[in-house]
Amino acid sequence: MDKLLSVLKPQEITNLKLRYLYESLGYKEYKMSSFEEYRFYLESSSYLFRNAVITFTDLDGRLLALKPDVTPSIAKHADGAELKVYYQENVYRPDRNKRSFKEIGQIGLEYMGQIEQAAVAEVVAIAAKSLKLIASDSLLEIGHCGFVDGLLELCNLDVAVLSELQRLIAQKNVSGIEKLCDEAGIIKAHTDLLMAIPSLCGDSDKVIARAKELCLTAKMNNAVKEIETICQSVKAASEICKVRVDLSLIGEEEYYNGITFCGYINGIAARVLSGGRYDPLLEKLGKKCGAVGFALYFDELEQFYYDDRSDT
Amino acid sequence: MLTVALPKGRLGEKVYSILHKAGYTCDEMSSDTRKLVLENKEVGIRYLLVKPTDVPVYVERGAADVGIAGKDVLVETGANVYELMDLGFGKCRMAVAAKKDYVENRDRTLRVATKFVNIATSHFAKQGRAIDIIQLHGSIELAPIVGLSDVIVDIVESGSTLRENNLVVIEEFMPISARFFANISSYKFKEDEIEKMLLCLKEAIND
Repeated sequence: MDKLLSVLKPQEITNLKLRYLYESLGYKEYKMSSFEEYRFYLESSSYLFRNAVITFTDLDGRLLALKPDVTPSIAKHADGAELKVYYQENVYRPDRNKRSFKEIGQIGLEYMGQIEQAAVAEVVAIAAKSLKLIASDSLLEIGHCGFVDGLLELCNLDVAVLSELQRLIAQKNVSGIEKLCDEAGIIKAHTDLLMAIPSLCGDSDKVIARAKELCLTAKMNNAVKEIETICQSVKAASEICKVRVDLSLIGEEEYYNGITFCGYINGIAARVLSGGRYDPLLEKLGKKCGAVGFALYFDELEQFYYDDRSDT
Repeated sequence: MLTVALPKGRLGEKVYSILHKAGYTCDEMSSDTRKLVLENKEVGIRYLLVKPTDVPVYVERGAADVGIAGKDVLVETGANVYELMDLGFGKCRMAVAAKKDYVENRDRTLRVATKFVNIATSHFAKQGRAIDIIQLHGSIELAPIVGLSDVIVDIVESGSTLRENNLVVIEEFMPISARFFANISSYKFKEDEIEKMLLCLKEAIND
């Protein structure tokens, strides 16, 4: 067996370890076709991908797409019962320069059904375990859409200002936030708080304590409380990477609500893992249940193995 | 160890002089050095001397942890980085300029010469104006003079280059100053070091 394993590349060995971890925690592999009906992306909430999918006509005349994302295809089959799955698939997205498409390998994990906080904590902990398994110097950053959303609801902004403000918060651009708030006529109390959000990151206890004092609405309060609960239970798990909190973390995919999280490896420029709670996607698909999950991106990890910084 | 991407030229020299005073010293640094990597292990600092327009690329891709560049360069490259501070110097504006006697003809495509293809494209797209972009890499002011373009989009500081070539500003649309920014992943692993440098810069600028 050892002889057989010797032909595996470091990344393949890590993949096996990840699969073993997920199987041992009761998640089953979910295998699907690389194709999805194009119509599905028009109808479901994945509006992000509308202009960025590879399409082709099947032999029977239907318009198909190469999957830009795996999660909606799994969510389609959710029936309200508990579904704990993981997948190892390729997705097709525009590359960084937006000049051509590229194939990106992913391993991901999804938990669908009646989602309680314990389920969210379980998935976040698995993400932290996965990162630890890949690299010793890695970290998971936890945020919550509710904190920024709660504050932005108070400000009552039009759509253009709102999305610009969200972009500035994600960039931690404090001077940009100040300028935009001034132009949009946002009151001083809200401006001060918006400008404080980029620095609400780092050690979880400190950030949570500071954030608690800043909450203006019940929505913001609930967000901070949920992060606190999740952090406590994740930190109690064994074999996990470092955990930080960042309240400026707003999910990239438009379908996230609630807890979001991102994983990083020291020396790798971009995030290698991202995930979160995505009930709105299931709602759009007409499902009466919630979901939480994450994906690991192999295109970023490739650099890590290539540089031979891995521990395996 | 913190790796800083410094733009070659005036802006980089100014930022280095601030960092030098704050203790981030590199003895080899002088304006006539040909070295591209300058390191001081004792204070844990490494400078990369790069072309100003490349600074955001080095930072976004993680070859440098932090960098300094003008807002124009940052917007043009569209780099996904944490824009941590407006340094408040290196001020200028992005402007549309044309020959003194230029009258816009609205019933045909506007020919625009510029170094800043993305900035110019998005500016005119907001106005719903159809344009033909002509990308140049220097001496942009020449384009309208020889009839290569109707207007130019370029940074204007004092406006003297425009005046000397009989050009005038038609519209200013983006205030520019130097920015300090960080790689997203580096910021998480080296937050203390980066925040310390940020504080030094803030103090020096407020003095």
